[in-house]
Amino acid sequence: MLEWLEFDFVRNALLAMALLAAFYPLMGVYVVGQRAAYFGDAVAHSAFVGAALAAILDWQMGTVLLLTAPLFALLIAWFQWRTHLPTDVLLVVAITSVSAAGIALVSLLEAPLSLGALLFGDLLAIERSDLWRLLGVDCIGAAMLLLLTRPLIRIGFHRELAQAQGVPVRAVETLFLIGLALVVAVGIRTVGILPISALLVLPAATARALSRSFRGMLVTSAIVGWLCLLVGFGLAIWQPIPPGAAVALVAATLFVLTAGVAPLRKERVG
Amino acid sequence: MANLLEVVELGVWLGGRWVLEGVSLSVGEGELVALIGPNGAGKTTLLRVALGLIPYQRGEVRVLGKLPAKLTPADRAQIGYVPQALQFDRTMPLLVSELLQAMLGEHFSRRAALQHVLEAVDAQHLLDREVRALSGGELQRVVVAAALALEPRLLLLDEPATGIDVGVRRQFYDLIEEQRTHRGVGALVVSHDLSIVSRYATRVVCIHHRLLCTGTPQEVLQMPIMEELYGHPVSVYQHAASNE
Repeated sequence: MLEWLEFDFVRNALLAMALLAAFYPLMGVYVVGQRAAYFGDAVAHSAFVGAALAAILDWQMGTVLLLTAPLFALLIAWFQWRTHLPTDVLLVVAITSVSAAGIALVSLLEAPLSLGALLFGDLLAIERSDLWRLLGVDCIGAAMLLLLTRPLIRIGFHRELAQAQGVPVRAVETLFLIGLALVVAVGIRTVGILPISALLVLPAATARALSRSFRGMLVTSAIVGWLCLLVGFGLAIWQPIPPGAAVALVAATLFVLTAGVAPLRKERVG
Repeated sequence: MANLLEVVELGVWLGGRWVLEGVSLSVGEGELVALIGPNGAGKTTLLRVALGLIPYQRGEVRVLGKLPAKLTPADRAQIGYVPQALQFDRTMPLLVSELLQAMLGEHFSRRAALQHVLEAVDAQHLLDREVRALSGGELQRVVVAAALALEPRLLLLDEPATGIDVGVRRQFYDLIEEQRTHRGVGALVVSHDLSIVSRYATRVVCIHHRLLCTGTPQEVLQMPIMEELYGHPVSVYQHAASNE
């Protein structure tokens, strides 16, 4: 019955999903708390340039993304500190610039690159090296969150108060953005540029509507994340939909359903 | 008496103008200095300079004997700061107990310790409440409790009692008074409530971008300049609760 598990590519795909589900929805709680959802999206789009460079240099895309994504994250953060531009304006500039630059590079140099795989991932092409990268980033990310949870809660609550109390706000934020960039970069190979933000943000956004406490939000987000991946993958096997898109679709449906429930819950409490 | 905060001829240039110019004041041990002035006078800016949150261009500032930019985390633990209300992020699910644990660290991981912290402002019943469901006054009490929990030497309070009921406000200032007289805590308090100022301040400093006057509450509140600033003769209204 489980003969299909004998295939390496199926086992790799399932392991990649498990590694995503184990950490991404947890990371998402912090992303939502720091209002960094759109930042994650901008970093994901930097994969256009990273993937083009990888194709041109004939390097592994996963490795190149691990270098380009944090660099791009630092560049955005630096611009923000220097220019004090509104965050949404800066991120729109960043997204359009890197998308255009990546596509221009691919076209000009006729680099062999599948835009479809980049946008929606290529779960069935996952290799052992991708799994190690995912595991490594999960571990680094988890360690970072253990270290930064207290300062991030304080910064999310009131940035200036945290700064006045001695929290090294800029260092914590920079570390967090580098961690977020690594997490986004390593997930793109699996689910693609478009659904990666959905996987990061939607379970956490759903959990935010359903939870009373920060711990509760972490647990709920983890459960919602697993549910999205399992149902989404099932949907992708059943129908010819890319797994990344299927997962994003399930996550969005759950979010819309719970966003309707949350006001009712508030009314009862009130 | 050692000065916990010393500001000499402070000049702050912000947004193309001098928000503060030639302002001097000091807060010694056991003093409660009220900083008053009309809206936009530069009161909050002065607190932010003292905390090292914004730079200054002229004059000298010493907090606990150090330049604000040189304050270490250990120094900052000795400064209790309460910012103005209405600026808190109240969108994330977060219990009061979780917020206090994040702010106060592992020494306050036990429930009893957190309960004790809140008892100081009569807010122990808030421990298991959601932060986003608190009223402005309730949230302000939690932040004040956190500021007092680490037994600071210097308090920098920016309209700390905004949104707090009159009775609890008096209880809050009584607590500051106790910290001041028993532990020698010094406090710089921005306040618009002149009845609170006249009752609790040991000294009043009035600014409007520049230093306008300074003295005891009785001296300052009777100065003609107060009428100019507030647009009418200043008489101190005693809250009903404060006459109890």
